Amino acid sequence: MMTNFIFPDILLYLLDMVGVIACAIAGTLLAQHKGFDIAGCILVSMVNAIGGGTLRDMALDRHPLFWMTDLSYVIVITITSLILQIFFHLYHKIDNALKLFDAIGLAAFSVIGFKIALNLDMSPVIAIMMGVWTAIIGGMLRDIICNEIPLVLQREIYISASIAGSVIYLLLDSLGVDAGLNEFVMLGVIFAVRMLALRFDWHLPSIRLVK
Amino acid sequence: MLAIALDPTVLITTFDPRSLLYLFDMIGIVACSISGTILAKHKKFDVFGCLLVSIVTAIGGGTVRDVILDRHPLFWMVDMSYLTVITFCSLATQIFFHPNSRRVDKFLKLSDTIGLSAFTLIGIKVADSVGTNVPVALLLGVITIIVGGIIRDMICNEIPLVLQQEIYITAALTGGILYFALHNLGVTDWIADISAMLTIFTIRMLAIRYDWQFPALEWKY
Repeated sequence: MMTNFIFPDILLYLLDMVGVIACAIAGTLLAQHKGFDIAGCILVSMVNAIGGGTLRDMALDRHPLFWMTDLSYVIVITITSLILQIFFHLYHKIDNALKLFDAIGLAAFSVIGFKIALNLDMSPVIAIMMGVWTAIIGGMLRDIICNEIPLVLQREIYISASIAGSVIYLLLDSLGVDAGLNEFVMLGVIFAVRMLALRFDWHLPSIRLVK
Repeated sequence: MLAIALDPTVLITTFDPRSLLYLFDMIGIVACSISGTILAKHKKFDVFGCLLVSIVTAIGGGTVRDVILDRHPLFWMVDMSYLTVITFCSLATQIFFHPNSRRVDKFLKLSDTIGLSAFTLIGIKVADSVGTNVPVALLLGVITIIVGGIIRDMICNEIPLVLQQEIYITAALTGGILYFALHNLGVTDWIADISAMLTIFTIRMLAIRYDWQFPALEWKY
């Protein structure tokens, strides 16, 4: 089972699953607010959780897709979505946990997308872009389905956190730091930037010159 | 290099329509990335949000076409000039952005039309080189030009502009049909290329100038 998985690293796989759960929860919450039915909610949470990775794999021509070989993704998403739909009224109690999970997912997804592109000998710019895609496209598709303006593209430190982590990885890599250690540094940087941005309400300034 | 470029005989004999097509392609990319950035700015996206929208607008159509045709690696992964040009244009547009500026409007319409004619021809030629039949090649030409704009409008929560009664798809289809007709008559490659592009350009510019609209097919009773 581990043969077609890029990272046999158990920790990264676990963090990936945490991110998938966070995405599934966020997708189901929005879909419930829009009054979707059971299957609609599950579909939105699937798109949210595995959409980014799927588009990345299609762009990089990696077939079969990761969630077709490893069924645990689909199972985890379905169960999470169903449980949340049953206990929907309790959702404000998980708001803080959801933000934490979401930051973990952002970090894990970015590292996975970035490393996959690097392992395919793509140039660093493409690798940074693939990390960003993996992390944000799921959320973007969710918002498009639900007819909202994508949250991740507005003034949140989200894409910026992913890019910052990738750049630090490339810097450390050119200094000769071991790849395994480097991944964890990248993971930590993205997570820290995202959590600090949430805590202190950081926003990216607009770069407009003309007032 | 300059000497070769200035020598008229060399210029005529080694005329390569592909380099012209590449130039027009880049003009279209510039137009798409500017229009993506402007719409994203109106929706108050941040720096990287605007950048992402402009990237999607400019290369989304070609990417979808290549994924459908299974042409890998994708063109913008091999040729870095696409991403460089888009990033540069998007950042410049963001810096000099003004919410009710009309100055870029004319430039945008012209460059968008040049891009439309180049993208259509590229899409058709790519599909043709893979060996699809004529209707599929025309469809892929249309996909190349409109999907970027459709995704841009979907991300920004608007109804896609290119699908609304504008002479946009129509112009592309006319040029594409002309290209295949000339090709079947045995016309030289670059003449067919240029006449197809000119047709698309002319129809689109006339449509903008005289405000032509395609009537909706509707049974009035």
